[in-house]
Amino acid sequence: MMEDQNANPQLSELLIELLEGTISQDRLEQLEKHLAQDPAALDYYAEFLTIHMGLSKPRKVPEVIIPPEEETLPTAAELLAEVIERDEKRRVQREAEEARRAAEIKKEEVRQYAEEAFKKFKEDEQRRLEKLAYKQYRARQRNLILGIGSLAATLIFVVLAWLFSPTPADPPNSAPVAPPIVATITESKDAQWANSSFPMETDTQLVALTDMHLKRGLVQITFDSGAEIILQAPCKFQLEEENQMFLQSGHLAAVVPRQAKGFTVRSTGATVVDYGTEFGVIAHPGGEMEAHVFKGEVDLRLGSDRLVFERSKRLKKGWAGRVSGKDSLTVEKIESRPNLFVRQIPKKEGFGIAGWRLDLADIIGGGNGLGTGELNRSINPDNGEIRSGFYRQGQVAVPAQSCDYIPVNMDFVDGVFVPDSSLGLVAVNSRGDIFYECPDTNGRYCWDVFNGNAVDKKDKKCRQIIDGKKYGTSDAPAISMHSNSGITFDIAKIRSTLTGNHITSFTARCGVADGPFPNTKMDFWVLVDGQNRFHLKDAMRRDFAQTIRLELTDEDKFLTLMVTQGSDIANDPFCSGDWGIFAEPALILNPIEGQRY
Amino acid sequence: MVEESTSDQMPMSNSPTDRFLRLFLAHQKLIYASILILVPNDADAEDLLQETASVMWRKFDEFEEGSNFAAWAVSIARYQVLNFRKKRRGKEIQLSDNMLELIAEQILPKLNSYLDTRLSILENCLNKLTERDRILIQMRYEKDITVKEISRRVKRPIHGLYKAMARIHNALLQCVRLRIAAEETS
Repeated sequence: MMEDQNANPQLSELLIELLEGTISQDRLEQLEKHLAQDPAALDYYAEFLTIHMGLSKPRKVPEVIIPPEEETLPTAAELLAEVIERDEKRRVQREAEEARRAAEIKKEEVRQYAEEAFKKFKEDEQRRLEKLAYKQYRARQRNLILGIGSLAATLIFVVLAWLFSPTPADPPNSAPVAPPIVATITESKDAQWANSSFPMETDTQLVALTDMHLKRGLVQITFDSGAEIILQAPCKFQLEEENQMFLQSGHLAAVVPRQAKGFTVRSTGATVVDYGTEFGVIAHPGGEMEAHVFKGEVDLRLGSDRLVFERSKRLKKGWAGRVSGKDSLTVEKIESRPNLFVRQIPKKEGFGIAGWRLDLADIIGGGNGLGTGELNRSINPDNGEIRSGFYRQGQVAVPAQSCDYIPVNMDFVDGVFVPDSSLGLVAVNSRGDIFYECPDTNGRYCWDVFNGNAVDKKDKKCRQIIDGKKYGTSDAPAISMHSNSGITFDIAKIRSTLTGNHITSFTARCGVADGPFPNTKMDFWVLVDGQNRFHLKDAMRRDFAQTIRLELTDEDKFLTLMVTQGSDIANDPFCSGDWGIFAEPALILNPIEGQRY
Repeated sequence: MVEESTSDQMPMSNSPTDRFLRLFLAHQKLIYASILILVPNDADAEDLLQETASVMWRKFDEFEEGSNFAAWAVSIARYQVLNFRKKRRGKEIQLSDNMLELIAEQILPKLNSYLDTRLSILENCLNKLTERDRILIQMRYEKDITVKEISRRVKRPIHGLYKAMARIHNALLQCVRLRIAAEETS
């Protein structure tokens, strides 16, 4: 029996972990063993939880459905009718109760909003006065600097400086008022601010009401309230209060702990108010805004005022809402798209850099080009099946079931195909663009299109080496493709998720990977909207990799990468060793010049 | 299973709403404690309390006046807990079914007396804590900050804080026990 729990502090530690929700399965089993074996431990458990409950804040009374007051008794005829239609009446009553409950909740919300509005009014007024004082201080500073610039007035300046220099008799409100510190930079990666003098270091404290423009990379900011956001460049924003910000344009992912419930992201067209959750926001420069909820709930409100708004929608986990333009609020249920948001600053080096370069290999992994996808993902070019791992169809190339264009169920991958003109016209995207120059092939393929690195089981060697360098990793990504196969990316769709960037070019290096067939030959192709923009004929292992750089415009919709058998097909109908690598395949981004956010 | 409370016999108005609210408020702590003891997580327990209240109200016309409201409430709460566990199974770590049964069997029947005696004494014991310990408890419970977040703010390792919280809870528990024993002997 356990006489003194002081002698066994482990039990109380286990209970703290349990209550904090951080206990591991092993530790839980350890705790259960204690409780099952020792009745005193079970009492200790009950007492411990009672203490915990006593320390917690008093619980509010749960909201219960308040029914209408007692109704008058029905007549006998009505009673009969009620018996017959009992189920129907109950249904109607339930609905009425629900409506009444909703009205009660709404009333409570309105009351809370009114309280908040009053509180905010007071805070705004305070802030306005502070800002005014701050502006006056800045204006005085500017005037002073102008005075310095005026050479002709040097003497006058000296006199004026003497005349207007602060004296101890100056009123107290003439002192500069700095905006309050509301947040701290807690992490960053490859980050560049538009203002190069802006600090980037971790633990830099950030003041409210400063226009901030993240040009490149990722920055994690922790508000004093505890809310954490990760911003993806390009991003223009202003921190407003210790639990509120204004996002002019850009992507952010937020994690809001319980104590920061109510964290607010405003934009020009809409406002997101958190209810204790994880969510992502995309604000487009034109005013369109999207809110994606990963956990918990948020309220999406039309307009940039969190308190005064015409319409709002409560969004739950797995829902996304969109405000298109300034006065159109549509909410649709879509699958959660966490892949659009960087929700953790990557610890390892990555190839994709927000605001500068998107990694197409990551897009094959289901990501957004910034490392949010899965490495070592395959897509079968014959049927579009997506799988984790490195897959081959057989020891040698096998004939494709068809040479049709196969749409793929992924965000930014449009589709795949096995190119062979001998069977008819070859469509290379979902719009039906035909690649008229597509060569006749034997319609065989061997490996799936693959975005990682893999070791061949036979010779234990990596199959993603070109020019002596290993590719297929997160920092040196690659798309590996076997003859004959093709994959098309929907760059218009990728472009639609960017906020303030053009896609200006596609870059990569291509070559035949190291392997057991030194004399194999294969062709590399890159197409834009079905038009041939790059062709490397009969590439061999011994050749140096070729650099590809294609300019892209805002009108270009589809980008296709394709590999086909070389002229050695008569000697090797199975395309042995035709393992082509598109190394570091990237879409290069540039800011939209002159855009007003 | 659960001790009868005298508040069941309180005078009531004729309105079912008033009767329900009166009974519910009189037993709210017990209902919450009976949930928390089975689902030891505040956020989940609060959600479950909300759901239990709604179900109780919907079924209130089935409750027989004068019978044991506490037992009725706790049985509904237990049913809600079982449903909740079923939905969350496999998604997060939870107490095993055997353990739940053991707790329900051994603890629930005496929960009411635990609450009656311990909660009122706790306040006095809190005054015995050192200033440092009291600040920790205030951060955790009054400000509702998780231990993880406290560790970040005070820049102390999280494991050290778990140990500190465990020690403080244990000290409070021992203090409550001593006072109960003293009251009993006097």
